[in-house]
Amino acid sequence: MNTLIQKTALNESHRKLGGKMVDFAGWDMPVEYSGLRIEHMATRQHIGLFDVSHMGEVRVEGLDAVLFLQTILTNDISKCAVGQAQYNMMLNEQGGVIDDLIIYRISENNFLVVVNASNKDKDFAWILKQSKSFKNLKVQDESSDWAQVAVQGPKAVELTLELFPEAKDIKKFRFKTLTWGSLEKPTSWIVARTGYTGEDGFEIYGPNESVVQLWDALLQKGKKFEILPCGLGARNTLRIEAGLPLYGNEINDQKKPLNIGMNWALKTEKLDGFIGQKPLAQDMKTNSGDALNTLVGLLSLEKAIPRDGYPVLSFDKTRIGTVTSGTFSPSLNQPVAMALIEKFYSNETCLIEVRKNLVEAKIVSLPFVNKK
Amino acid sequence: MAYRVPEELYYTKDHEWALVDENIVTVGITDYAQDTLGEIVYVELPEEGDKLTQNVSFGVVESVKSVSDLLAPVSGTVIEVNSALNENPGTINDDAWNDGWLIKIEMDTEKELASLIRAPEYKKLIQD
Repeated sequence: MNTLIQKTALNESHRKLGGKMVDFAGWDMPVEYSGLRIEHMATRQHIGLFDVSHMGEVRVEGLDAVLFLQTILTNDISKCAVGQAQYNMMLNEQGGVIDDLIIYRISENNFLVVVNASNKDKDFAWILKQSKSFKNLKVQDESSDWAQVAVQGPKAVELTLELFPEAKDIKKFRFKTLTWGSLEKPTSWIVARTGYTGEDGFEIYGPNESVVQLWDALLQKGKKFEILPCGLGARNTLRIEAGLPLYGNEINDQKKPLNIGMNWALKTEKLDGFIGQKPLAQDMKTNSGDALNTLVGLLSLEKAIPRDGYPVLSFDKTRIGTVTSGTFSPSLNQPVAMALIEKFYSNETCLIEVRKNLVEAKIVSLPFVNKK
Repeated sequence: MAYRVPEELYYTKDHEWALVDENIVTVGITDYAQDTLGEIVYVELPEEGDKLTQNVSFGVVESVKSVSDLLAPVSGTVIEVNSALNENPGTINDDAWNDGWLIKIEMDTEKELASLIRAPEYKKLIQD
């Protein structure tokens, strides 16, 4: 047993629920409990409950917080009101992605920045380094203080309201700090209408010592809605169906994050310049480099599943791109993939090199599953 | 979790099992393998008459999560393929030891069996 592996406050709960535990980014996490497909479908049809406490949380506060975040993030922080959550990319000097993340504006000069578990140390080192030139600023890695659960699915809002009645007027990408717990020990939670599944629902942040109680209450009260605890396996298939990028697949530090469905979060006209802005704007303006590719969906016409890294070809066998994520889609009951391909490729179908075979695939726009 | 590991079979360290009957070797993946993979949605198998080489991939098994190579436990010629798996790959999850078998090989030489492991060693492998 690797002693360096980290455990979330819900580790015992996962084991009791029969979770199949794997090492994910140094965390001992459930990949599935009752089975990936039924967990996935529970989230699409009822409610899925996810432990995502492994995510990293960085506190950024001080009078310079807005200006600082403007310089390291791609979105316009000034447009993010108190009580609002905002999707962002954090780029290196070349315009490659250090991480994608969500900022929560807690108060005027106080932000909680939520980053990928696999990138947390790298992210915090970068944030700390960039923060040095700002005077009225404090940045702190609070990851070990926070637990996080995601309640996702068509009944997720109804369930969450049973615990947090004041959550009823929280709109998409908004949050509130609400109290829940025993009378002797009420606990503050950040209840945010965000998620990574393509479903409505909440992500709830709170202290490690109270999260087991919250998890158990959600499972208990969720029974009538046929809630299921869901592992990281379903989290991945759900986000693929929703066409959402994952760091290491659709985005990485070598590529500018253009045309992956997130251009709206890349404010290259922003007056407060951000790191990576120039190379990003350059590609966009001149329609060159990474702007020549676009993220698409592929529906394979065969049973074999296109996996990340598999080449995408035109019918004359010219390489036009690469699969970035692939899986068997439980909702569509067929293999699906996301791929970065040449923007000007105009055919409606293409070929994917699946090991030694070429399989035909239909090119579709993302997401695969649209709940709107 | 305790997985069943039949005594009479040979195993590879890559989690294939081999049932040896004279010179015919039936090949499958172990209960541990199917459980680790999760729900299997696709299997790619060779054709009858294909020549296989020990420790070389003869196909793949895909779950929702991942794709894994199937390695030949012995060299030889494929004489039968479990084509029912094309329609129902989940049979491997339901019954890895029997109905979930993959192929039958006419092996070239019994000598190669010496490099496979037996149940006690395989049990130890999956406990670690």
